[in-house]
Order: sequence, then structure tokens, then C-alpha cells
Amino acid sequence: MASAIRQAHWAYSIWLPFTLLGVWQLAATAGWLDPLFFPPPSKLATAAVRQFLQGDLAFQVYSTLTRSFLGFVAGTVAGLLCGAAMGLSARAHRSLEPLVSALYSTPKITLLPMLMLLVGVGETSRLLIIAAGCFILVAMHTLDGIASVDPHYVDMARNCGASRRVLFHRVYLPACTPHVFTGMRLAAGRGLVTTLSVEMVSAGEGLGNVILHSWQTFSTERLYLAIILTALLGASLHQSLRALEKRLIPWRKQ
Amino acid sequence: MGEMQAPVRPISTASGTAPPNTSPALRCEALAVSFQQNGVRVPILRDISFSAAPGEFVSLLGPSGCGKTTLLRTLAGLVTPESGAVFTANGPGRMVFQENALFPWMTVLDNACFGLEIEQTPRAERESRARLLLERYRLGGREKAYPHELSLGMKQRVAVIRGFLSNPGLLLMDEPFAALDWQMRLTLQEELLDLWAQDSCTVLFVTHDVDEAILLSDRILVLSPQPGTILGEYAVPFSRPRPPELSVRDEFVALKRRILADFGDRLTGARSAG
Ligand SMILES: Nc1ncnc2c1ncn2[C@@H]1O[C@H](COP(=O)(O)OP(=O)(O)OP(=O)(O)O)[C@@H](O)[C@H]1O
Ligand SMILES: [Mg+2]
Repeated sequence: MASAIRQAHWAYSIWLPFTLLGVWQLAATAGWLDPLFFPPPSKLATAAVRQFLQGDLAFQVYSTLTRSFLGFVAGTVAGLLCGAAMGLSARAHRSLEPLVSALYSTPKITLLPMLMLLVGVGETSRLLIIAAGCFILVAMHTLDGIASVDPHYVDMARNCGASRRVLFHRVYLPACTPHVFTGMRLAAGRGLVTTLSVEMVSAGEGLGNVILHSWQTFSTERLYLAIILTALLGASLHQSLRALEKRLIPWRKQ
Repeated sequence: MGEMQAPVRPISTASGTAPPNTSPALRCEALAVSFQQNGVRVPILRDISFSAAPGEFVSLLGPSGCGKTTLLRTLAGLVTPESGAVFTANGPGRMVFQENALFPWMTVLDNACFGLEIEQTPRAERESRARLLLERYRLGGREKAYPHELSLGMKQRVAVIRGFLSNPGLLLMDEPFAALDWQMRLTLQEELLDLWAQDSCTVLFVTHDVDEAILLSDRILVLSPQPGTILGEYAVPFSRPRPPELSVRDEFVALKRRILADFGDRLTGARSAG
């Protein structure tokens, strides 16, 4: 399956979005769609150029990116520490497990009002919400990774006389990297999603805020632009993390 | 249970083996191992006693599931025996594992050097030693490959090279060639003997292939089905280096016939091609 995906020409990954845009363009110019609600892609493209050059769209993208990046980094660091502690110590596992599983099944956005009461309505509460979503995913995958280290390889290294230190950085660390990285990849996606939701309910800037605001003011061009930009951000994030994964985990069977 | 009398034969001093008076590289005394299976203690090995002289090549021949891997793991210090004792002259044995004998996340070169890395041999030195052997055994140019990019035969070669490179006093090899086709097995057997001839290490080689045991070793120990114990012992007096056509010579066939006559029924799974 995976190799079949790699063998297909890259054009296969773009024909579908472009066809959909083409259909949309056709429907809008033929008058099947109301251009007030669904402006044709050609108009969106010129609007995009205009808004990027003169407007604030670049700034909005930048806000969303930095916000989700900061939340992601904070959540990932905490998740790595928590997952490693839970994986390496039974006591830490017992102590943290209830909290982690409770947090796992709670939609993070529902915690926003409480956090705003705790730390105020500023940026901190938003970052904490984004970090919480990333934290859970990284922690759980790190824990999984440590639990799934094959004892066979531990034996093999011990048989060569490996110390605990060598065991850690030559066996445990590389063996759980694929799991941890999967957690981080999912967390990056989740981080972006949470950022958008938070921006829709609380922030004064960012793509989520643009989407809500354009809806309220009926700026359809801006609305669609923000949605398309969000989708593009998500897709490029996913692709670049995939590429990074290949570089970081070259031993993984593709 | 009428236990069959083991036809223990005196060890003849085949060329290449040490005289029997030196202190052994490995000695097992009344070794017994059992495992907990579904809450029940199941005996896996019982009353294993034997020794191996320094530089001797000993094969362990036994049916699948009789505890060969368990015995090697015990000698490697990875399993604690229930009773009995193991004495080794140079610490626990180094193991060449039956499956997944390489770390998937290390390159061929790093895998080959791993033993030396642990001994903190400087990188330049350990890599040049590994490169030399990789080159000699037709792995030159593949140093940076990962195990999943290698054929089975190549992987086993790297595993054997790592075994020898880690300066073992005692090398424990667990059916390293069992999954290879006949052609590849012959090649790797020859390479193994070649490596061993340049090293002074003692080898304990597990197999369930009678031909392989005769071709490689100075002495063969036959294990019973589970719980495994030593049923018989055969000296293999053929001089070295042993040519590949040895396996069709009369004396080879005679020894093989003797082993199969004594234990053929208990070595189910043993190959009889030759
Ligand atoms: N960790 C373990 N826990 C419980 N039972 C075990 C364990 N390891 C091995 N056994 C049992 O010990 C017996 C011997 O296993 P072992 O792997 O030593 O056999 P073997 O002779 O190497 O077989 P093969 O030729 O198929 O490799 C088997 O019945 C197996 O089920
Ligand atoms: Mg085995």
C-alpha cells in the first residue's frame, strides 16, 4: 500500500482539489451559484493578492502560526516529560493516569472559560488550551512508545555489556522515536485545530477570528480565503512533518 | 520412563582443539531451567552438564522447542537457572540471536561495531576493524544501509561479524543460518569457519541440522525433546580446513548415519539432505 502511494505521480495529489475548484468556477460563472454567497475562485485569487499586499491577511496567518507553534512546543515538552515519567516509573504512571485520561476525553475548548477565570482573558489562557491538546497526544504516544520497546533488543544490548546509559540512548530512545514522532505529528495537527477554535471564540486576531468576523460582516471573499488558507496550512504542516519523519527515522520500513 | 542410555564417546583431540587438560572456557554443572507458564512451573532444561575447551567449536543438536535458545540465553546471563552452575573463563557468552539479530535503527556499520562501541574502543579504530570484515565478506559499500534494506543472508553475516568483533571469549550462536537457503547457508558456514580460524574464541553453535553440526564442529552434543537434557556426545575428528565436499565422503556419511540411527526419531525436523 505505502509503496504504491509513493510510486504514483505527484500530479495525483493535486488533480482532485483543482477539479473541485474548476467545477466551482464553472458553476459560479454559469450562474448556478449565487456569486454573493459563493464568489468564483478567480475572484478569490485576485482578492487574495489584494488582501495579502494591502490588507492584514499575512499578519493574520502569522498570528495563527505563532500561536499554534507556541502552544505546540509547550504541550510537546510537557507531554514528553509526562509520558517518559509514566513509562519509566510505575508510581508516576499510577499518579498521573487518572488526570491524563480525564483530560484525554474532555474537549479542550470547554476548559477555556475556566482557564480564563484562572489566568485571565489574555493570550496565556489560549496558549494553555492549545498546549493541553498537544500535551495529551504526545504524552500518550510517548508512554506507548516506551511500553512497546521490544525486550529482545534490550537483551541484545545487555548481552553486549551495555550500561543503563547506553541502553537508554542506543535502545530505548531510538526504539520509541517512531511512536513519539507520531504523537508529535498528530499534536501539531490538533494544535492547529484548537488554535482555530480558540480564535473563533476568544482572540482578536488570527484566521479563526477572521472567519468568524467575515461571517458576521458578510465578507464572503475574506471568509473563503481564510478557510482555504487554514486548509493549506494544515496540509503543508502535515507534508513537512512527513518529510521530517523520513529524515529522522530512516530505518522505518516505508 | 526407561531412559535411553546415552552413547557418550570419548573426546578425541581433533586438530585445532586444545588438549583436554587445560581449564575449560565453559563448564555447566547440573544446570536446570524452568519457566512459569499459565501459573505452572514447566521444566525446560534439566541436568545439563558439559564443558568446552578454549577455542573449541561445539554444536548443540536438538529438536525444535527442546530448549536450545533457553540454554544459550542462560549461558549469556539473560536467564537465571533454577539450579546448577555455569562457569565461564571470560564472562558471559556473546550471543548471535536466532531472529532480529540486528538493531533496526542502526546502520550495518554501527550494528557490526556495537560490541566495540560498548567497550569504548575509539570510533576510528572500531570502524576500520568493522569495515575490514564487512569488505572481506562482501558487504563493502553497504555500511550505511539499514537492516530492512538487506537480504536475510546479509543480515546474518553482519550479526556474525558483530559477534566476532565484540572480542568474545565464548560465542553463542543460535541457529544463525536456519532460515537461509542451502546455497547461502554453505557460503555463510564457510565464512564462519574462516572467521573462527582467525579468532581464538570458543563457539557454542545451536542447530537442528545434522550436516551443519558435523561440518562445523569439533564436538556435537545431542539434546532430548523438552525438557532438554544431553543425550549423547560425538567427536568430529575431521581435519581442518574442511572442504565443502566433505559432506559426501564416507567418514562424514558414516558419522551422520550413526547420529541419525541413535537419535533420528528424536531429531524430528532435522534435515537429511547431503
Ligand atoms: N520466556 C518464556 N516463558 C515461558 N516459556 C518459555 C519462555 N521462553 C521459552 N519458553 C518455552 O521453553 C521451551 C523451549 O524454548 P526454546 O526457545 O528454548 O526452544 P528451542 O529449542 O530454541 O526451539 P527452536 O528450535 O524452535 O528455536 C518452549 O516450550 C517454550 O515455550
Ligand atoms: Mg531457538
